[in-house]
Amino acid sequence: MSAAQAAPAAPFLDLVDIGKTYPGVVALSGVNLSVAPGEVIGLVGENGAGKSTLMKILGGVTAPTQGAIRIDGAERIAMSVKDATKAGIAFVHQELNLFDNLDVAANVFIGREPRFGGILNLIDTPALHHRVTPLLRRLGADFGPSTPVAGLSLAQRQLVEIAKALSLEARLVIMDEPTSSLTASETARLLEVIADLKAHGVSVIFISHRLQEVERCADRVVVLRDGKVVGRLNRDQIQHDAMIRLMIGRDLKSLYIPPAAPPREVALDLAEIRTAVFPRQTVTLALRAGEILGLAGLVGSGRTELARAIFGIDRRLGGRITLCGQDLDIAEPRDAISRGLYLIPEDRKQCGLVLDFSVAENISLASLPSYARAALVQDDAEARSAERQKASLKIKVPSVATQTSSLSGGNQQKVVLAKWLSMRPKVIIFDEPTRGIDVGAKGEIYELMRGLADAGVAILMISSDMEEVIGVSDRIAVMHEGRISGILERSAFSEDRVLQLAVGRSLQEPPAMKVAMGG
Amino acid sequence: MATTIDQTIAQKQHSWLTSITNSQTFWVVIAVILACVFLSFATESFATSKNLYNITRNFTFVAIIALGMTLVIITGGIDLSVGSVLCLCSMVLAVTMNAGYGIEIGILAALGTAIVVGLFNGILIAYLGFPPFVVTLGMLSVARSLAMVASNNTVVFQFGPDHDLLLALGGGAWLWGIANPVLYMIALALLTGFVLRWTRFGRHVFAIGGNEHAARLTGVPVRPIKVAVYVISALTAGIAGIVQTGWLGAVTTNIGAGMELQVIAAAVIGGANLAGGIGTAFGALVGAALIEVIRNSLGLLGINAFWQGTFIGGAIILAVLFDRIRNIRQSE
Repeated sequence: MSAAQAAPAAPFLDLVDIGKTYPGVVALSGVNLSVAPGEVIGLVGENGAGKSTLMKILGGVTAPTQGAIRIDGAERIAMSVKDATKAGIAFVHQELNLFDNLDVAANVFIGREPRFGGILNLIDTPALHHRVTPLLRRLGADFGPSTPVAGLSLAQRQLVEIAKALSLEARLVIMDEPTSSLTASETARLLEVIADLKAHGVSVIFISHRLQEVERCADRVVVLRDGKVVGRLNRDQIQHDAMIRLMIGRDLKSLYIPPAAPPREVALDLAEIRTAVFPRQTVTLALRAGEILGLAGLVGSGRTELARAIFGIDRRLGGRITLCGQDLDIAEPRDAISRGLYLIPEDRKQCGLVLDFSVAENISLASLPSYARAALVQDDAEARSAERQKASLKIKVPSVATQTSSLSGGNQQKVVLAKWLSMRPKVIIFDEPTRGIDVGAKGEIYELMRGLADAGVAILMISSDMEEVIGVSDRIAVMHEGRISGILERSAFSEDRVLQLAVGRSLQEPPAMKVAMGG
Repeated sequence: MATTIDQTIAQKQHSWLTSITNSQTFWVVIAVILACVFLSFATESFATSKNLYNITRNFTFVAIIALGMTLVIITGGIDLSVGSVLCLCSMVLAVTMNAGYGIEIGILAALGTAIVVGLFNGILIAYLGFPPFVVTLGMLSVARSLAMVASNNTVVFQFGPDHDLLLALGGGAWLWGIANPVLYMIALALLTGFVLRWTRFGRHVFAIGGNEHAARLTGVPVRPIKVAVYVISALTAGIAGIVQTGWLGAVTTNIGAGMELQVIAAAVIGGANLAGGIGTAFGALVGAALIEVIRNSLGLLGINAFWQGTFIGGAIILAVLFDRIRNIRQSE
């Protein structure tokens, strides 16, 4: 503590008025941040607040469009990845970047292995182990340098990443959601490691949605919202509620289009669904025809896994799915599709489209039987149907024969949607329907969703965008670590409540809310 | 409105033209034509009907199998077993007919063998998630060994009561003096082209190669189609085996050895992309033709046969080089 307080005179890293603009989007603006040696800084903010952009700038992955970076007082406009590494900035990523097929020592020193043998340039394994062992010991690791990484738990892998950072003589370790998949005791261990780093003068930026852990370890907290620093809290001010208040607290534009009629009968009934990611939790949820049910939660709370299990991409471990009163036995996405249950996936390029196909070919792919009498594809019928969808969804493309890869994100999303609309949807699951889509197209997608709901389709919308969840949904179910932590009716919507449920806190006042307990 | 229609038509014509000049197949056709024109002038023996007859007949077997291989490659797979499957099917046909059964039984047995092999390959790949390379590499070894077992590693040249019929089937020229194998090849190529262009099955094959994951999420029956593709590949090998048996009039256990590489080369030269999603039936024929023309011309020009591999290998790399250059240009 005292080291941190003495330090402000000589900050190790200083970000001055950093701004980053992508075409059409301001990701960061006017961000000032200084890091003193041995300081632990908590960086919090909602999904999309600009945390990852800031990290990319620190890591030298992208250059800021404005502002300056000072390291030890030396100013530079931009850094390359190499510069960042040389300056002593190391990352422990959310998805750990380790080579599963190699052992611990090889991972720690990958690309920098001690060599011998002159021209033969062989890897000096004893020296390698000799250098890795003390690092592991210092971190209190319960595995050795020759342990294969494939057999390590997530917490152990994290230690390997930290050992790698230490071997680089890192002066700043940036941890992105390091505790999101750790157990309570593993988390406690990690916090000890952080305290040890701090004692050795290494600074840490701790990015987390888990505010209680930020409370426990941070000397200072910086809150980002919409690309700006909206609050700085000193040690004695770091409190859960204060952080949440700063993280939200913006006026939501009204996106809501009220339904034409009240929701009807239950269309999709999920009873005690269990997925492989959270095998001990169950999800029970009823989705009505004509409603848009928002599914909120933090990244990694199990929402996408739930959708994958419902749609038959992954096998579910247990539970019953009922569609319009009939039991659904789904082993493959085909089975779901044949019953009118569709999924608009999060990653449309990887999962939604065949990018080499034309717009018309993508649209017809799901419903080929209806253009393919006697197994022959009828081009004119296919093109006519695609033209109809193009007009009704306002897909901006010169011709339906255009290759899909050349379309903008919003138009690609409409093509994915068109694929299903030419059939008879009963339930559509949207996973992050407007991620990476510009504002204008977003509004159009919301209108389409409401139009579908009014036509009697039940819509489950997974979204990490708070504005979207609150603005578009008729009801919101919030997930936390694999279970539904609460369901909010529209009258009870507030960003604060959604966020409280998302971080696993129960609400103090339960207005118009029912809690479906898992387990 | 009129302008947009005009624009659309203009764009269609434009894209039609560029898509032709952009296609690897187009340039391979040009190469084949240029080579033929050159050889007609440079040598006296190239443009003789006998030599042309030889060329066409020689490349048909590779071309027929390349049709099936093209389907496999479009899905993003590979089938290394075709040379051995050709041998196994020929041997099953030969042994069956040698034992006194009619040609119908022999052909059914040979095609049945091909289907079983294809099912085995396909099921392991599609349902058990084996890498295609490994399964078909294993089958390459197994099928040839089974052929040896079936024949006791002897040469079969007596085909029982329907001996003459089989020889006519493979060696005859039933239509306008065109060799029978060429007729079969053209028929199969038309069928393959039709299936790829016009049928639901063909569309699904392309979808799997373009983005298997998206295809699955869109309800394409990915697994059954993958199995079907390997069955078709084995069937084309079986058909080529039957025809070749009739043409050669004898079967040994080393026919088709190393043929898989020629077949893959033909498909790739013809524009099939080993990463999946791209390929045509016409390309398979053209690719096989180019290989045969190169081989033939080296002989006629009096170049040492040892150079064959260099020229064919160079053709493979050159053909794909065009594709790479186009890709690099596009991405810039």
